[in-house]
Amino acid sequence: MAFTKKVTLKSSDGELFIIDRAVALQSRTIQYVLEDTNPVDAIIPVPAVDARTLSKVLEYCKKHLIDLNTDFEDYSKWDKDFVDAEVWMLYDLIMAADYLHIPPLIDLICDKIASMFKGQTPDKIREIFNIDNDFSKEEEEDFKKKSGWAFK
Amino acid sequence: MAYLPLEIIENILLRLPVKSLLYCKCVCKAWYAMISHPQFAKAHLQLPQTQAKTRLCIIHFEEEKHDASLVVRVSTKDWESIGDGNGNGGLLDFDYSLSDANLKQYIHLLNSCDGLLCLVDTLGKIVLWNPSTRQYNSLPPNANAPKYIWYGFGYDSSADDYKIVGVSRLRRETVVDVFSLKSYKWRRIEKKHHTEVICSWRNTVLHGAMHWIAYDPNVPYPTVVAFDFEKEEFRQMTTPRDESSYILTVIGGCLCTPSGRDSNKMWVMKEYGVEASWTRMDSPYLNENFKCQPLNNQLKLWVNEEPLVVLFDVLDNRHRYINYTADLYVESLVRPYPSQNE
Repeated sequence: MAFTKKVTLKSSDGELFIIDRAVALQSRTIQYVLEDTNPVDAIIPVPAVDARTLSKVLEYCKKHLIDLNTDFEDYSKWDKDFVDAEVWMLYDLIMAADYLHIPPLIDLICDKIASMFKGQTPDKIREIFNIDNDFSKEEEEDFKKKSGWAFK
Repeated sequence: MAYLPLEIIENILLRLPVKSLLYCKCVCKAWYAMISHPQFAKAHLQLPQTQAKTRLCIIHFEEEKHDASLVVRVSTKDWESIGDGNGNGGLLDFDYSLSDANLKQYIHLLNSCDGLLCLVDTLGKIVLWNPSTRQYNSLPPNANAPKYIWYGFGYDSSADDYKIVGVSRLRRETVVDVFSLKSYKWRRIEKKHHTEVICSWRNTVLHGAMHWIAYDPNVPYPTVVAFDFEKEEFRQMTTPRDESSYILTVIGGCLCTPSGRDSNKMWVMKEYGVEASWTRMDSPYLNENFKCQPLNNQLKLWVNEEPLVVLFDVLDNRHRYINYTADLYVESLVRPYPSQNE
């Protein structure tokens, strides 16, 4: 079977990304597409991910491909810098990682967001992550009575 | 965040410690429902990072002046955060009190299970308690109970139920009652057992069964008797004959008993239930009945069979005894109530 070495991805906003097949294979979604259809020189559409997010995801995939041969410490420092991003960027990244099914990237971003929750009050979490408070005043008072100790 | 799919939010929230989850519950209704769900508690409990994170719970109790019930003060610590620096390593900085548990005289702490601890007082009152969520529940007494000499606490995975066994001696037979948290009732196990329990208060849970050392009148040396929480039946195994002591613990997932002859040796049942697999090994223990875990490279901590915490300073070989009831547990959201739903 003749495998193409390069794969072309098309983002939701129409931008084309020509990348090594090995880089693309880190996405299980794309892996399935390639296995099923083996499109020679065809363009694989990625309708759920825009160009800005896709380039960031591919940056991760490229780095992690190269880094298989380098030392472990570099890699975690790079990861830490990679997720040192604005909240909206993390949202877009995790949605993309979920759609493209890249488990280590999903783990990385989930860990990052979880670390942002730690030690914050419910008010602060709602503020950072733009979540509406749909509890009544009475329900909130009840929480404070039951588990107010955890908020300190 | 509102537009993230619930599976992703769940994936994020599962990574948080219990205390963080308690306030994440109050962020919005969707999160509240998710974190309160029994499946979430189960998934959180089973994660390797939850299982790997041991915590130490120390309780200190004294009688209130105006009434006979005990005030129970609680200190809980992350394994990593204890033992730094001076004195008792912050072990006795008490976080809170169990104020209305209404326990009397003296409290025994049974083995922990899935983040739940079980307190039993001298009068036989039992309180199931989750030190991580601070929820606790006084269980109904067994109306026709004899005075139990011995209790155990465990999990029945097939029924997804927590159970407490009470063991006593009645007319030369070992009588066993089981309390099921789900049915919220005590029940007598009809199948009698002729052995006589000779183990101490602390007992050993392994592979869903409670183990104790017992005398069997038909056998000239002590035996190991196990009560299976799922099948609610007994099984019996030999001990390493005359070499065993009357103490049973678990080390590295194996039943283990200190050698009765040589305090530097212990017997390990390498393959569970296989009597031929009892193996004599060097004992890592200072004293035969200690559970031991290193705190850091300088301090080791033992939690004794009897309620007691010992700090052992490796560098100058000094022991510091801290005489409080203590046990190790994992952090969980498991509720000490009959229904796991809120």
